[in-house]
Amino acid sequence: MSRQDHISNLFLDNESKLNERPPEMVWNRLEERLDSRKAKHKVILYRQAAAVAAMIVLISMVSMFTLFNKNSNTVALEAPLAKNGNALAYGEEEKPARPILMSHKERIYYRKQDLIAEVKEPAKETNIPTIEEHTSTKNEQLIAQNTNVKPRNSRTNEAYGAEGIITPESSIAPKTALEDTNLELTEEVSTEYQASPPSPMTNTTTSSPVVSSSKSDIKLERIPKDELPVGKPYEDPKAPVEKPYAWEITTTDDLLGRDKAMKEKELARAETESKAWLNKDQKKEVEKKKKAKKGSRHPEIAAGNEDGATLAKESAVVLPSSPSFMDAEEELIAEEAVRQSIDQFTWILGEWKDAEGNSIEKWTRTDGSTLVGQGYYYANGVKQFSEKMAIKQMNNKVYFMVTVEDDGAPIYLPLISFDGQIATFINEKNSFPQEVVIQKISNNQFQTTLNSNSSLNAAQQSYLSNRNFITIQNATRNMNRSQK
Amino acid sequence: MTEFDLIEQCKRDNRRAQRALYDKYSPKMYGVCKRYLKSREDAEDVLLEGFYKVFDKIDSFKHKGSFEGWIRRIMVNQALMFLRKKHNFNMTVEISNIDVKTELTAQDSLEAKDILDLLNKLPIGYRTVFNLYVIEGYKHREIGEILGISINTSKSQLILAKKRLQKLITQNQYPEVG
Repeated sequence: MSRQDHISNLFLDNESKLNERPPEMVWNRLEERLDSRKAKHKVILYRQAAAVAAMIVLISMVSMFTLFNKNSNTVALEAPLAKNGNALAYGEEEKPARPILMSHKERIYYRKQDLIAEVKEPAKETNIPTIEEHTSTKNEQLIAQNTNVKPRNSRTNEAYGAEGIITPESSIAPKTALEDTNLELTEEVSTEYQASPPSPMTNTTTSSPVVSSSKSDIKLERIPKDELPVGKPYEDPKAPVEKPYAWEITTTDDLLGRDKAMKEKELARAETESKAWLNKDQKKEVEKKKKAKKGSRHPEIAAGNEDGATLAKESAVVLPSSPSFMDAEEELIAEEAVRQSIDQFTWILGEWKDAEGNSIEKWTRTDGSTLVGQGYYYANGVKQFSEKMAIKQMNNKVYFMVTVEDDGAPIYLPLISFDGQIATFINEKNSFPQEVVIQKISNNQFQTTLNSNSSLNAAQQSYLSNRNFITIQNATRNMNRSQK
Repeated sequence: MTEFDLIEQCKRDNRRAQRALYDKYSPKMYGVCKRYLKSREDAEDVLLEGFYKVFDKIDSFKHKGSFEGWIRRIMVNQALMFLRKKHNFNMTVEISNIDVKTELTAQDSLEAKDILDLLNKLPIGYRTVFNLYVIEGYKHREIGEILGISINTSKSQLILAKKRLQKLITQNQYPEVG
């Protein structure tokens, strides 16, 4: 059953009467949806940024961890070398390597060490006098105070010498800066005072006094000389047990080996996957070409046309696919399939007007192989311009004919492609038009587009400006079927 | 501002350009939606969804072909999706050997209300096939693919739709205008 019957015409002619402005509420709802879409996009962007930041942090942490491992391994391996190779300067004490990761106890222990070191060798920058300096200063002051007092007992520390002479005993028991911290020294321990603090890492035999400290003050505990082990290194029971950190050494080679194995596995899997994809793609190509041969009237939903392809995929309704904007190979296939018959253009027969009603086209069939279109342009009811067009079938080919210049010969453009909706006529030998595209939008609407790559002369420009809407891309005119 | 500029602005989420495009095409598209759907509320919902999709996917429009054609196709798709949720086109019965003749009637003009009245009296299957074939210009093969029915079912639905319409017009004798 055709579309030319009375009922079809009745609906076609009156269809535009259904056009009506929708209620404002629809736009308001649409605007809300569009706003929420914007917000969603923002959230997605933030999430992506957060994910990237998290990745960066993770990578940097892993790399830092690896670097530390490497460093600690190097220290552990290099320390004995340094000892054996006399790398230490003369008089410099060998300092044991401290682990990077320390427990609370370890940290307290090393802090003690530092404090003892500070007491022993105070920083020069702060100008804190050393124990010896301080002692001598104190002695001088005391001597000055007690110049007339004879030494009664050198061990009582009441006086250090008579008449400016310091007895040898006085130097044995000096008052030190540690006196200020309520340190009481007994006879037994006084001579051992200069002993260096204990270190679990070194073989120092002297180990008293033990220093217990907090941030603000330093307290020294006295350990009787007799109780000290002789010939054995002092071992602090609270001090952490030194571990060889074997796990750090295993990381480098083992992990490298594991990484390599994993990489190889991944590579093999990627290869098999890519092969599978290639096979799929080849199948798709073949199917695409088959479809292209068939042809259809829906260019927007055609395979290869991005405009409609995405939409077609998303919508649940699957529209028939057809080629329209394809690569060269597909275009060749489609070109072969173009049906060269004017019967497929009979829908254009009848009277057409543009939206303003100024531009009119009347298409009639003069014979079995020619459709003739007469175009007019009216301004204020007065005819301004007229043109003659034709779609003609000659030697099994369809041509679009148009006379652009008043005295010029008609221009022929052969039909290159037609998918039931868009007909493209191209003749690049013409200066204008080189391409004419007639698109059937619906049974009541079609659009003509004129294209040219060359510059136009005055007559051609004048022709183009009549009845056509000119944009930066092309010149078009939209025609609606005129109601009876 | 040309249509080309408006579309480009819409791609940048310019709300004024979106409004301008909506104002330009919404009356026509509302008409399209009303042809497919019985109630105005449904038509408005489909119009909204359709325009939302237009603005969401406008980046994929590369100025190949008519913009109006592109929007129209989206609206038709949206309307069909809506109908599919409520109606199974597969359930329509294929009828053969129908007398294809339709009687001539003096009626040659219909008002918008009359068109909608007539379409509303058609079953959904008849109405959809009639719209797709007569107004949108699809072929029976394509309608079959869109609705998931056979070509013959599409043909018989169209014939039955036309016969029903003919009968309704003759019975009611809608007033002629002009």
